[in-house]
Amino acid sequence: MINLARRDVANHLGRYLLTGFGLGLLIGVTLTMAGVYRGMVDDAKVLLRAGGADIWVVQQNTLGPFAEPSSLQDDVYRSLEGLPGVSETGNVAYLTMQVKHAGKDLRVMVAGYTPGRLGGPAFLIAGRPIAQSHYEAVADAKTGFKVGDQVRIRRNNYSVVGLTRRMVSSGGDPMVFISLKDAQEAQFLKDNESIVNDRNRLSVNPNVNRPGQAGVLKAVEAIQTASRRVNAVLVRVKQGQDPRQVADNIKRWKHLTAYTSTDMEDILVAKLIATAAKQIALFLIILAVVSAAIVAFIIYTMTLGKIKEIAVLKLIGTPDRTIAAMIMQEALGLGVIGFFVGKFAATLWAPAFPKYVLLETGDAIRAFVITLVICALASVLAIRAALRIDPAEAIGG
Amino acid sequence: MIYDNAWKRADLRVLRRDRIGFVFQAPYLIPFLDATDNVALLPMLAGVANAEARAAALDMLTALDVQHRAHARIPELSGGEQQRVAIARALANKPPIILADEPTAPLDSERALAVVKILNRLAQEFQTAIIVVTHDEKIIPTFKRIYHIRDGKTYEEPGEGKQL
Repeated sequence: MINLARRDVANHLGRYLLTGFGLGLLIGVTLTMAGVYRGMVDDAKVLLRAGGADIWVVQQNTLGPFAEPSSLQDDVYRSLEGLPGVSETGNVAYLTMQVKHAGKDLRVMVAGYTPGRLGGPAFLIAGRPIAQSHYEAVADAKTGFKVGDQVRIRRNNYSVVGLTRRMVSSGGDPMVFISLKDAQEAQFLKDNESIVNDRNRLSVNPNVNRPGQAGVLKAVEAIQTASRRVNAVLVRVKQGQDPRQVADNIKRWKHLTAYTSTDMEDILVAKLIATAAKQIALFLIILAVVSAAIVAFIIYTMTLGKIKEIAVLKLIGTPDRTIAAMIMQEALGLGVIGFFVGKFAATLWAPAFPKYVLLETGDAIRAFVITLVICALASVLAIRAALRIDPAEAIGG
Repeated sequence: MIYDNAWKRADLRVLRRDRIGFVFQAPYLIPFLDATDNVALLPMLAGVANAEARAAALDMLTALDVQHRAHARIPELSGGEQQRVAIARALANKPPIILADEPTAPLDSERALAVVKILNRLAQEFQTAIIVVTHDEKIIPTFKRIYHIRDGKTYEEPGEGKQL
């Protein structure tokens, strides 16, 4: 038996391919939206993965450095290292700020860590890690910096000594790593006028500046200007230890909040980006419905354009299933073309997005199946219309 | 009597496919099939293998002198060629009856008579009864039985059965 769908498509191939191309662009937008969501989730997780920590220790009753302000003394790590099951620790401080690059403002997340300890940059693609205690930085390639560039953070210039890839904050901002001491200074640094003002206030405060006790004033001034705080302490447990158990111990004995990396993922994905994810999910659903409606309309219109031919086919004795198969095959063909065009388009334009767009193979397979199901369902309307055509219409003039 | 059982939808389809050939005022060919496949489609629908159906279609096109356009797309054929392909399709399953609705309407006199000649020849060759509805006075003398329908009344007159 002749494949009627193939012959019909071959007869107006250009129009069919153009329709598939248009549909493909729509599918491409849908795939990209799914990729934007996946990218958000991946951005949220990449920092956790790169840190290499099993446990995140944060200020008591807070959700950690990314979801809520968290402040700890920077010597907490010493007492944590004494707990059973703890292998190594690392202080980290994070601050989101704007830096200049090539005359343009650039939003970055500055991360301070102690070189050689947990919390440093992963995925180094050029240069080297930080080796000096001050004024060296490792930047993500997405910032546009090159090894040897200078980046100004607050009052100081830092030499970029290394480049990473895929090191971004949960918000997608590229990261710049500096030493913990530099980060603490940058985080709590006051301007000169404020420091002078604070000193004046303290010097006229009789409770602090008592006659004959000059040491008190100096000590208070030192506390005010120095920063000995970090946002979190990363903990890696010894091999074979259960991170959950170690985290529970930290909570119980140190009066701190400790999250396992799984808990942190939940916080980042379920809490921090939940609203944005729902927004995208709703947009995806609307896009899918619109795509289905457009596919149904296209296939319905294509079928109505063949009323005479279908009437003739019915008049000469073509079974309904042959006509239905022709419409269904054309609809599925359109879906296949649309999917591959959409996949290609999404792959092509995804790198142009300012935030990471992650096109997962699983999503592509799901999209392919959904596209075929939508096309099959959409063709039902057209098949119903075709089967209702009276064979007499063939001779109806 | 071409059918004497209860009418069912599927029966009607088979009836139209195997027992009745249609020739319309316009050819009403399937534009996305070439001339051969337009003719071969009917035997294929009846279950004949593709190659066999195409060979039979080519024979039919040869009988109607359009074999040289066997692989042409329908829009590439002239009006007369399209009508001859349509006749070939009507005869493809060798039905006992062909219903022809103004088969010569789109053709000039010469081609109209040629088509009627072909219909007559094939009617004899395939033992097919051909019922033609026409307003074309030129071809009326070629029929053996003529029924006039005028003002709602039907009356019969003997046809000349003139050989062309």
